[in-house]
Amino acid sequence: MSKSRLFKHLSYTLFHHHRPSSLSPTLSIYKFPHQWKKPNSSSLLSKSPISSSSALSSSSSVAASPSTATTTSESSAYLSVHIRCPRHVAGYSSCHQDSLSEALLCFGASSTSMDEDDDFDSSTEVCIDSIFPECELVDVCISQAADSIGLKEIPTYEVKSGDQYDWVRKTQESFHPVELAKGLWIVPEWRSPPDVQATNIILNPGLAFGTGEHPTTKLCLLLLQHLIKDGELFLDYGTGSGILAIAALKFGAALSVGFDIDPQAITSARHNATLNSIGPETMELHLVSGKTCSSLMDGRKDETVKEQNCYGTGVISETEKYDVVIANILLNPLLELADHIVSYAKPGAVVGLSGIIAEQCSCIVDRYSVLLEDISVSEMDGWACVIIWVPSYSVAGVRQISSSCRYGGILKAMLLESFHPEMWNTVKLPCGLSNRRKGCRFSELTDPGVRQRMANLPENEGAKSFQLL
Amino acid sequence: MTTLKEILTRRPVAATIRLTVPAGGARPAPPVGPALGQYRLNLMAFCKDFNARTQKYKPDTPMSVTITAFKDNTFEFTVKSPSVTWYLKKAAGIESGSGRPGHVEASTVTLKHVYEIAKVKQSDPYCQYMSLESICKSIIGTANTMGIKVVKNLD
Repeated sequence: MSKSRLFKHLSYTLFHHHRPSSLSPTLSIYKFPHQWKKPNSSSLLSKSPISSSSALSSSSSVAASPSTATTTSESSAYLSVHIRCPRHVAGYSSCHQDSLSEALLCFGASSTSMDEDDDFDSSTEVCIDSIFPECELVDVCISQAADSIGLKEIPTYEVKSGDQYDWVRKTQESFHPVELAKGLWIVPEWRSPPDVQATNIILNPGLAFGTGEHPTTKLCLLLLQHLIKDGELFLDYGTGSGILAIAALKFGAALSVGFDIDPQAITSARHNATLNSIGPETMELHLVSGKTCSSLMDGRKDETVKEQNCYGTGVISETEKYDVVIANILLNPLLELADHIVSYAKPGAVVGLSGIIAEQCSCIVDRYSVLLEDISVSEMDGWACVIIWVPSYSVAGVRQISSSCRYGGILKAMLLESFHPEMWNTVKLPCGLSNRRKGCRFSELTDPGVRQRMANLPENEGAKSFQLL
Repeated sequence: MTTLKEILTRRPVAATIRLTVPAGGARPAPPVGPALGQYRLNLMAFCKDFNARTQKYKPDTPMSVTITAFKDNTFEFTVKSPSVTWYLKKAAGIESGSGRPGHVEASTVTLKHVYEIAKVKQSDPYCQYMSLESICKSIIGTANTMGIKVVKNLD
């Protein structure tokens, strides 16, 4: 009973301590994730044009650049404040820097950062760089913070207004071409590819996920490289910058479709597709609603939801159509959308899930083994990728074969050997196969080397009684 | 405790950054963007890592995270659970503490709430050595400074 009271205000999620003076909801600056895209979440930050005090007169030029929630927040600005405070005050043994930065965070700063100076021993002052949202009253905040930790005077500070472009440009400078595997490079838009012959994916990620450097993206790209042979249909759920969809097309897929809940990601993906000369007919992008799957599963209402697509005209949102489905998102959306994601895969397809850290993958495996059984996990750098094979055909068309766990494991290991194990740290095998799954296995035993090895298996039960269909 | 080997191989620290980010909601926009961008850290990697690690919390609870940026543009970060004041405000159902703590009472919470909060806080890295009772005492102290009264049972 107490628990329900403890969490009774679930819809009330206050991100910042909001001053009563600036509660007039006019424009909202920050683009919060669209998972909770409800208009009644009134605690989003709002910008009131009148709340600039005399101390902020230097930033008056910024007040003329409003940003609406629909644009790509290019003109969202912030205030960057540089504070100097004395390191120690006589009588106090603790350093003021930590407590002042914590107090600032409590009273309205978005972030504080403390530089490590090399000559800090000689100086008696420390500097704190703090970032405030546009509408905050900086002087009030600083004086309250100084009061709360017991500083006798307000430390000196300077206020500068920063623009979005400053830090965006700085992070863009740190992108370099990355070679993921032999012959596969990811090149940012403003650099030239070091190897023109190789498969180059040219990217400008913007504000969307997916530069190719993250282990999960690498895992998914390697999986794609081995799965896509020719002419497959590929679905990228949570496409971000579109890197996986573009890679699939470069490897030889016939059509790539990308879903995302963030319109920024759709724009970014479309831009990257144009950079790689991929037109909208080969790569379609749909903006899907961020609502949880319970509303989507009722009576297959997802058809109407996907009418609101930004680019692409084809209604490739029918289920059971794709040869490869990859979802590189986060744990909670993967759990919620399990049925939804799996429904897009046609019989004989492969579903890949990533964006989960190693300790979360057992949760995913449990959730998805309710739906499908052939699940294996691979890991790189503490991140995991879960691969699921969808059975080729129904029970009626399968040869019955008895098998043991060990046999199933050997079979699986041989199939996974073709996925270049030196790239992956560990490969875990599920134990046990049911009769249904054996049909799926055989459809992949076309490699003559594998067939030979199967024939030479030691005499355990079931090893000799397989037949190719 | 740091070993000798760790001290010898320690990378030079460029800065320490403190942020408040909603759980599962890190995006390369303010407040994360400017704060990390000026040290040229990989924003995407941080956002993805942070989101993945905070999946077990309710979405949009403000988590405080401390990032140590090294001079070679790598970083490490630790995520702390939300602050006690935030938990107390949610438990009491109020938006902010009272203006005059000690004189004006803002709301009440029961001992059960305090116990639940203490259990969550025990998993925090810096609270692990404290007994549950001492964590509860510090929570009650925080509640007093906010003007929230702690009662034994709800009437």
